Amino acid sequence: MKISRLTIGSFGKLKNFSIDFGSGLNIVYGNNEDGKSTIMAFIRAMFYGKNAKSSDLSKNFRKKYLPWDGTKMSGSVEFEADGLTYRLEKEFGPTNAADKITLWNLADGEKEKIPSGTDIGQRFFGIGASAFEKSVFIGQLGNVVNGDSDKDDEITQKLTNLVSTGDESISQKKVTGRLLSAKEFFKSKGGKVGLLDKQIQYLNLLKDELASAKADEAEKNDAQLKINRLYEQKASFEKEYQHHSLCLELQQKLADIDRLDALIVKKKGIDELFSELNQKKALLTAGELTVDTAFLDSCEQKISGVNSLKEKSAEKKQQIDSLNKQLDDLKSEDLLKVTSLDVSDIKAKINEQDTLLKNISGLERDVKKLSEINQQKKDLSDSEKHLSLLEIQKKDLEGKIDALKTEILGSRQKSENDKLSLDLKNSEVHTLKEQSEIANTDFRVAAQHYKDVLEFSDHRLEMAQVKLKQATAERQTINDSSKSGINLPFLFFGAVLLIISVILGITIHFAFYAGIIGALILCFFSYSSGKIKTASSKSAYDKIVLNAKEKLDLIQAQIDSENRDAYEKQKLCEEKLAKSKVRLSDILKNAEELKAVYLNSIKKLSDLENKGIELNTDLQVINEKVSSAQLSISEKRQKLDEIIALFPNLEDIPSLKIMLDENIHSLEDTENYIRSRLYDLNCADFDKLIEKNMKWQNYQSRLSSKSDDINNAVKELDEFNSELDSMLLKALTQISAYRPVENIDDAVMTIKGLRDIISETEILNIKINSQSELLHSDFKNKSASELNDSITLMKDEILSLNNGSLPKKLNDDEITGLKELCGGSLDALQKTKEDIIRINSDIRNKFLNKKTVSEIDNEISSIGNDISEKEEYCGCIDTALAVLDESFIEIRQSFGPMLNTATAQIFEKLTGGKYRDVIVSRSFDINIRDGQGSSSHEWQYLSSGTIDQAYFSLRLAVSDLLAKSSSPLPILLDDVFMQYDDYRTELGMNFLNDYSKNTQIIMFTCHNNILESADKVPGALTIRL
Amino acid sequence: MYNIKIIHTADIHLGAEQSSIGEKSRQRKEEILMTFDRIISVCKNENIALLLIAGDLFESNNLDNSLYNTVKKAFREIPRTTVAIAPGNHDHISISSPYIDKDWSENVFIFTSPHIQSFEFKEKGFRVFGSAFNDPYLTEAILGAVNPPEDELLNICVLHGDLISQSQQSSYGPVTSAQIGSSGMDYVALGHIHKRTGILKSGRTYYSYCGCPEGQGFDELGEKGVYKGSISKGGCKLEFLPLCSRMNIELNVDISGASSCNEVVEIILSTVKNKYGDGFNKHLYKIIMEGEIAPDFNIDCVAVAARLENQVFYIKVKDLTRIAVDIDSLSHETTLKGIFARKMLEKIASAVKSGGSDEEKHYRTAMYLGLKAFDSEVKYNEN
Repeated sequence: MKISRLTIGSFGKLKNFSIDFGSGLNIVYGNNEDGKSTIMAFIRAMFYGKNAKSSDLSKNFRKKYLPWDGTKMSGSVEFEADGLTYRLEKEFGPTNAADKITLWNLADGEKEKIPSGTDIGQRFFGIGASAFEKSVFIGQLGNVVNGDSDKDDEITQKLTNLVSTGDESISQKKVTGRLLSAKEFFKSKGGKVGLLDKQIQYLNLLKDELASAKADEAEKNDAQLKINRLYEQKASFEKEYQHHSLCLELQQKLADIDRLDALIVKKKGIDELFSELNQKKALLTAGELTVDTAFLDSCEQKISGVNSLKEKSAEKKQQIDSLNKQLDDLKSEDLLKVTSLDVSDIKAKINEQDTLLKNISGLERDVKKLSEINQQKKDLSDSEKHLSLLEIQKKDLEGKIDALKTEILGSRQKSENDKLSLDLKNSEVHTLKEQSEIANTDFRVAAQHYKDVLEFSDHRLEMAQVKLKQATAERQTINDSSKSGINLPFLFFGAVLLIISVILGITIHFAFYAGIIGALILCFFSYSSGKIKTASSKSAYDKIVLNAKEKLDLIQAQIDSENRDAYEKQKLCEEKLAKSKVRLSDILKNAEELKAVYLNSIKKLSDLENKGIELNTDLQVINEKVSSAQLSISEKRQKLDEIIALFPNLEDIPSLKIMLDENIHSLEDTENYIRSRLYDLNCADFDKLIEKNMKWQNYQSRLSSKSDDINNAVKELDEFNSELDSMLLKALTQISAYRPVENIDDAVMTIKGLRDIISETEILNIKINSQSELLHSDFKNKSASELNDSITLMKDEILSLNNGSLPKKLNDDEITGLKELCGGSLDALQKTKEDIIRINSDIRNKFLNKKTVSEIDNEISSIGNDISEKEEYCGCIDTALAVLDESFIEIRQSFGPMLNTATAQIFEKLTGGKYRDVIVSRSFDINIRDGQGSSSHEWQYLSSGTIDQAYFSLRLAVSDLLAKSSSPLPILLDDVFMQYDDYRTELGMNFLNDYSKNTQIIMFTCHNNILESADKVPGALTIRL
Repeated sequence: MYNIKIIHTADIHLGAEQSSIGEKSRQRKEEILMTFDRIISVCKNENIALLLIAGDLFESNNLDNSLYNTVKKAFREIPRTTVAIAPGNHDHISISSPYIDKDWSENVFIFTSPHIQSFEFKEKGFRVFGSAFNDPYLTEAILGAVNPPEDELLNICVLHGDLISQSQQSSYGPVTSAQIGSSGMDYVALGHIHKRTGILKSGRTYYSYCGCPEGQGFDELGEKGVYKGSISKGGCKLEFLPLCSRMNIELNVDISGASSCNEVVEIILSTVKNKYGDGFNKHLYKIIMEGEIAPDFNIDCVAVAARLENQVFYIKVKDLTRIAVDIDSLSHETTLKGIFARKMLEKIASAVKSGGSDEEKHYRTAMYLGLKAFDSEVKYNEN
């Protein structure tokens, strides 16, 4: 099968692209990103639409190679297969099923039918997508970097996988490992932590639980049996209890029969009592009237009313007698008559006496008050006089103060004038002192200046002399040095350089001897420069000596002039200083005199001011006194006014005294009258009079009251008598209804008789009731014959209950025994019932919410199913593992040797005979044997190029073997020679050229050298993208 | 001729907790009781003359008294309905059984012996026959020759038992169709098998399993309820009345082509919505994912379940997908994978030839597990 042309409408980044291939070796050159990978993906996609995991080429190619401009992927491939030429056109949809595929048979121009769901690749190549990829696409092994163990492992893995599984991406160990791991998830090696292990453990637990639940059931059954036994006991106790109860019932019935017999006797007694009762009741009847307790009570009430009224009437009579007697006694009493008139007369006089006493007291108070006012008025007048005196003193003092003030003002003026004169003088002194100091300073400056001028003149003179000497000396020196002509500094440096060079030449390096040359040059230079200098200096120095002499003379003249000026200036200053000192002394004396005058006037002013202060103090004292006196007068006047206001009507004292005397006389008259009246009435004082008056009034009132009492009592007595008559009539009338009675005593007797009869009937009734109560309620109203019937009935009942015989009647002790037996069986019955309830309750509580057999059975069944399902799953894994092992053995036995042979052939050709075999041992160690076959090498020790060649050989061999059954497929190589050197590339190219005679080869590369190498191969077609 | 209205129910398993569904089990426990309440309501509202309870009314006889009291109270509320209970293996008669209590209302009739007993309701026109488990296991035939009177009264039997063929044995009250046919009954109400049968007939006797009214696991699938209708001499008009709160549903969903968890969830959701309509979310689902998926897509059942948990009442997901691979072409490859595929196909063909469907299934599973291992880790996948 050969691909002759690819036309890409749109696929990934390629658009309207076409490429033609030759039938042999094709080398497609292009830079990275030129679309080599896209072309390979396009070829795969054209033949195999489904995604399958293999490499980048097939992973979601529909997404990965979706055209960038959004158009649909489309294209065609022309190829030759089985001697026919086809063109496969495809427009890709989102899924395989949506692809539009057209297959043209170019030989006859007909469309070929393609069954849906089939891959074109499968049809033409007979292999699936995965196998197609493995056989058709061969890449490089990758860069091998020595020492990179990870990479080594990866390569080993790839090579091993290729040899052991035919697929570099599949490792048998890994597949087995995955299956084992899946199995271990269920069944761990330790048999504990796997899912299935745990379920089996749980199942075993459930089985234990089931055994326990079954034991629970057995316990429940035992308890049930126990309860059944208790039920039997219960039935037995019930029977026993019923028997004893029946016996008791029969005895009870026998006792009832006896009681009925006794009742019949009693019933007769009661009947007799009834007849007696009836007789008594007849006695209480008169005509239509039946006497009863109410009747008697009514009659007795009336009789009692009559008696009560009689008693009241007698009592009233006695009361009247007693009152009459008391009245008489009262009347006989001897009592002095003191009337209220007497009392009021004396009382008026006493009041008058009080008024007079008050008047006298008021007049006396007025007289006293008036004296006080007069005294205050006098006091006020004195104070006013004192005030006027104080005011005169004040005026006098104020006059003195004013005179003193004028004097102080004059004195102050004078002192200020003196001060001014003194200040002026002081200022003058100050000015003079300053002038004197300036004159002194000027003098000292002039003296110093003179001294300095003298010193400087000496110095200058000395300097000029020195310069003259130097000039003379230098002239002399020039004369001397002109004889030698050597420049000493140069000579010195030359010598130093010479010594250093020699030392360094000896100690460090001979090269330092070169310094000697420099030293010699310096020496020569010193000599020659000296000569030149001496000749030019002689005339110059003569001139300097002459200048120096002239300068010395000039300085001498200047010094003399300056000294003279300085001395004169010093003298002038000295005189000025003496003058200013004399003047200062005069002025100072004058100033002292002025100061004494000033101090005197100050002292006088101070004395005057002190006096002024004293006078002011006195004035202040007087002022205070005046204001105090004014305040006092004002207060006194106010007080007097207030008193006068309080007593506005005060008359003068004499008239007041007259009125006082008059009142005293009236008082004496009144007192005499009172005394005389009290005496007449035999009273010591007015209180006594009041007491006697009270007694008199009391006596009068008692007399009146007593008379009223007597009148009332007589009236009541009359009422009682009238009521008594009425009541008596009523009582006699009521009793006469039963039997006629004439008087009250007869009536009382009749009533008593009737009361006795009623009492007897009541006793009879009680007896009857008492007897009746003893009868059984059922038989209360039954007659004796009826009771006899009842007895017969009961006997029949007993016979019926006791199987036709009357039981023996038991005595009390026997009945007590029977009752105890009955109670005992009832207790036992009750206890049995309680036991049943308790056992039931205990069992329920014990097993409450505990799993039962059926529940556990269900759970076991459920988990059993689950376990079976998982066991089956594990079984499937085991089967897969077993089949995998079988497959592995097969591939090792058949595929391995074939692969070794095929690889060896390719490898030998590819390496030009240098290496012969790539041998993969049974343990999958990979060795490479050299051309002579003398030694083999582990692949790790070979160059990356050799390893790549070995890998390529293996891949090509695998490809051969995979596609063995079909016609040779084209092989697409992705830069497989990248690691090769030029020689190997050439060998590789030759090999491929040779190989391509049977198989179309399309090699993609981005390396120019490979392209160049390909150009040298005669049959190769090179294509540039 | 009497024609009475009955309800036939069984295997309610009050008090049972479906522990495999985790925290929802408490809710389900209560829902069983609510379903029981619905049965009582139907009895009350439709004047049901006879409520037949063919065993396993309670999950066990070790339950709390409060539950028993609730049930007793419920029966007390339908005094006009005769309630006939034949205790089953789960709530068999025992000392701890509530059935021996004395405080059942007068309309409740409980069989207490493994031998057939009967109650006659002349005024209502029927007799009820029945028996009870008195042990978790009952290996003897539960329905012998009863020979009920041949009169106008309807003879109805209620039993908890295992319907078996003549040659089989069972520890759960074995009964055969022949025994039913010769029982002389008009209708035999059976319990024990949680999946309902149709209304069957043996001889002149009608009989059926009504199934449980509320499914309690993924082995009790679909809609559940009771049989309701009328029985007359020679006539049996019973119809299935759905009463369950929610269904247990096992659904195989083909997720071929999905390449992410989201897509898988979408496919599952749209499938259940299509199938169960608006009320799809109230059910319990066991989703078995099938179909072919890319070899490099590993489905995480926990993740899928997590995304569906909020959409439905309960979800369990199991992955039975297989990788998308062209086995035939693969088997032609001279690679380990190819040879493996070829050998597996040979074994499958051999199993098919010998008619062993289980064996074929086994090899097919093994093959896909093996092929999966070539591409990625093999994981047993269910949440």
